[in-house]
Amino acid sequence: MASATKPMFTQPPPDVVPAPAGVKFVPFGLGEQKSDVYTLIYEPHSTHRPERILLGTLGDLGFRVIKPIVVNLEPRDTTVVASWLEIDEFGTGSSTSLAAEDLGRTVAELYRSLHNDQDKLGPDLRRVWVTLQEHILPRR
Amino acid sequence: MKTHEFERIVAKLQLKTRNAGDRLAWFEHDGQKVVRTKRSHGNKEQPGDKIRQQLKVNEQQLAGLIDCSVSLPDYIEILKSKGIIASPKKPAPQPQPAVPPQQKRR
Repeated sequence: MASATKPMFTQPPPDVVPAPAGVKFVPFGLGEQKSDVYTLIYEPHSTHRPERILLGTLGDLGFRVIKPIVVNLEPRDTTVVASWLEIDEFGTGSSTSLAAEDLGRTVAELYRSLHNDQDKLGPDLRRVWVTLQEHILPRR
Repeated sequence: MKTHEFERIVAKLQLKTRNAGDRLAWFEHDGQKVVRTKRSHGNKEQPGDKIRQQLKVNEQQLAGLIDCSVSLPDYIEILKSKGIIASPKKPAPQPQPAVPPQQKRR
């Protein structure tokens, strides 16, 4: 009873796609350099971790960075310390991005804390509060 | 800096603390928030130099805070000397009542 119906269309069998004219695929770094052959070799520009980055987001949806924060990066034994030297604030993490993220969270927390107590801040924290307001704006 | 060393400073300086993503700590004096610091949770090594900068002390003073050589009154004096704690204003001198010039006796 069962009747096998032939599909109306069948896919073509696999085939080797010919390389475009003038291009020859060779293993990385082993290519024989010829004028008509392009060899792709990936070499990172630098293996160094940057010593300084500009932070443009805090990772906290409650805040917007209106002026980039200069962050110094210091690799320690197993961690990276990201510091905002202007206000003596820091964050730590096992990588640059995690340290910057921790710093962002700390800065957001500091903003909320100083905002709540802005009428009873000592001279140094008043200076920190002014600097924070120059760089960060709470979202409405 | 070890976690227990941080906690020793918290206890000695009677810092106010709050646990958020990190353990946050503030030093208050005369009703004012003066300095703040923090440490991450767990027993990880803390960046002592960063904590020292937040507490506004030098290496020797930090070591003194961890052991017994720098007390809470000493710390307050350190912050006063650096202008981190505002020194209490001296009362303005009272104006002297005008004294009439003495008349020469004849």
